[in-house]
Amino acid sequence: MNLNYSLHNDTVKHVDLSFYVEVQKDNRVNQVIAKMQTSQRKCALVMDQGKLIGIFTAHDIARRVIDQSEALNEPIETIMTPDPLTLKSDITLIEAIRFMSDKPHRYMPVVDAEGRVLGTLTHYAIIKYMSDHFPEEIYNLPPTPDHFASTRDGA
Amino acid sequence: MADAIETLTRKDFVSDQEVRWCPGCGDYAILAQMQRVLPEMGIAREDMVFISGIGCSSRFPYYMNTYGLHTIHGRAATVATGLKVANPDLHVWVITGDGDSLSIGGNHLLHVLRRNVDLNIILFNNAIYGLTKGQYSPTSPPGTRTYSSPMGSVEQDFNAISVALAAEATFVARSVDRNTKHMAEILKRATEHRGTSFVEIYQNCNIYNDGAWFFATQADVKDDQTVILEHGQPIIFGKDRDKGIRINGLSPEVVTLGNGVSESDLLAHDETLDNPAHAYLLSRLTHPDYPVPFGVFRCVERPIYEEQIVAQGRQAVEERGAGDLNALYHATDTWIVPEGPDAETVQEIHEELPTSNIIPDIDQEDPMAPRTALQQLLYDPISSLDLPAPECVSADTSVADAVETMRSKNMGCLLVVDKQGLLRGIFAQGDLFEKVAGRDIDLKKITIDSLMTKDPTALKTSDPIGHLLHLMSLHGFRHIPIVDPDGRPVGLASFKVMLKFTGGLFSDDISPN
Ligand SMILES: Cc1ncc(C[n+]2csc(CCOP(=O)(O)OP(=O)(O)O)c2C)c(N)n1
Ligand code: SF4
Ligand SMILES: [Mg+2]
Repeated sequence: MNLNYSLHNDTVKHVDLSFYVEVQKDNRVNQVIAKMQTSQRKCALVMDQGKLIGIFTAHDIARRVIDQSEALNEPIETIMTPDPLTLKSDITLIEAIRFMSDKPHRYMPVVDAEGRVLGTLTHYAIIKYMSDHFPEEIYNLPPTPDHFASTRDGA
Repeated sequence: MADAIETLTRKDFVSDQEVRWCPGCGDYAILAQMQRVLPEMGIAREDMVFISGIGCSSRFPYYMNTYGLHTIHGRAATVATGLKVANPDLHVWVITGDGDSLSIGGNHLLHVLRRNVDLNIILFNNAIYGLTKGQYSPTSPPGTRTYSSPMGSVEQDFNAISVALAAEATFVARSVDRNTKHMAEILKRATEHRGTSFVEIYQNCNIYNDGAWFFATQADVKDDQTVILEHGQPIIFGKDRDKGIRINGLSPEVVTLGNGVSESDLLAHDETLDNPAHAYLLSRLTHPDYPVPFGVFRCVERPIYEEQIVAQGRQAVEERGAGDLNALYHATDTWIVPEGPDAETVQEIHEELPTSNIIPDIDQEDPMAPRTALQQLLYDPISSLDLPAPECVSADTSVADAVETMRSKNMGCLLVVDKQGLLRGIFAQGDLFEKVAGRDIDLKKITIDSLMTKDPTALKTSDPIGHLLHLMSLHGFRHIPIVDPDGRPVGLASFKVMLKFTGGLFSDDISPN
């Protein structure tokens, strides 16, 4: 399998887009955080009647919420990033990689041609997708790089 | 048993032993998943024992930082049974190979399964004897040419899952080295099951049987040639999820959905059936006629061997009092064998074995060839990445100050160093998210010492980039500190750095091969 070819031909649909939770605009910030924590997702998409209106991430928590306890009872709508940038589901992975590595965004909602949310593209999912191309070279490694023995064991 | 179990991390399970498997061996992927999953299972390391027989796979216990026993060929299950009866509180894993457990240890495997001793058996199936350099094994299909079957094996092979089911195993599952997520799920399920858990893992021996399982792992074919079993769900597979398994009489058949065939016509998977016939039928789905199933074939409850044995012992003591071993020895005729002549002194002969060239040198490459993008991505040293300088703080920094520093420096994480400047911890936005957000904590009052990841996994600038990808994709580490040989941070690798590097590496001039 040729990674270069795959990156140029597979689209963002081909990676795991499931690393997010959906919340509603009137959910309170602490409810949203609790939902993110229990599902171990660092990204929440804020919806209003089925439409994406904002995004809220662990990065936002660390930068804007962590020392502002009064914010916890506000509706998420007041603290989310409104109108987030989205990716179209038919852009290729190499385009997505180049786009995301120039921007501060770690999580990008992916939408289809009708604007429906299909999921969220994350840095992690791209790295995992790339590594899946080389199980032997990536997964089959010892726990630390200097763990290799010079000779294999014999019976 | 340990009373309070500290939160363990992957690192706690990594031993200091050199890993002596060939580069690229599938055993590494299984080791990595085990070390990833165990910290989540809440079992103290001192309560855990890995027991193996003989084979490449059986070297596993050395690499786990738990108790371990590398025992006799084929007898891991036997030693494990004894240990479990003597100390039922232990959490016991048996690590074995297709040769170890299906050739010489076949008998022992059958009996541990039917007894339902509460332990987990992981059988690394590479369909070859790896350690002894490539002889056919009981799972090598007829016709396999190896050093011991140069004209092709004439033996019918075993199907490990069918054997386990026939031996009355209560938990039977299969996974594959290259589907790391699936393997992690199955290892967790095996840990949770009470009774013997039998897990077959298809493992690639890239030296003596390379590609034995490629039909189930290559991205372009695997979805059409395998099926993931899900309890309660109809058995559907295929890249477009348009094929399924239907039962016709006593035989399974592959059907395409549509044209009058709907999901309700398909066989639905039920791992809890008392009758093993369903699981057995699934185990007979073999390549190339059928998609090969991965997942849990069978998971049923049955009384546990050691619990009953221990209870019987206790009952006997209650009814008849504690026994006297010495009295038992002398209960009937005994006699003393006179001492014989001194044993001959055996002279030990040591032969020097050549240590080089045991494995073919697979790293050999033309030094003049230009490095491909791929080689750069996998093997170039980390020093060729454009790494941002780390932001270093001391462990007594308050969380409030740390938050402020991350904010003003626009960093996703801070590295924690001691007075000598040596790396001691990492404190990331993820820690704030997991351990602080939404809780009533006064950030000025606590220091990052209590929240940071202590002694984090770090790499050196000379290590290959591929190892960064290994840690990132298998363990989900977003930030990895890069240190000098003494352990002082010199850079910070991250998902972002990797993406940027990848984006620049691959030109848009591509050929489809
Ligand atoms: C009693 C005994 N018989 C034979 C051997 C030689 N021997 C060592 S490993 C092995 C087979 C290992 O095959 P497997 O269990 O599949 O392990 P792998 O190396 O493939 O992981 C054999 C036959 C031995 N060590 N001890
Ligand atoms: S001989 Fe095969 S199974 Fe053994 S370590 Fe090498 S690659 Fe792995
Ligand atoms: Mg083997």
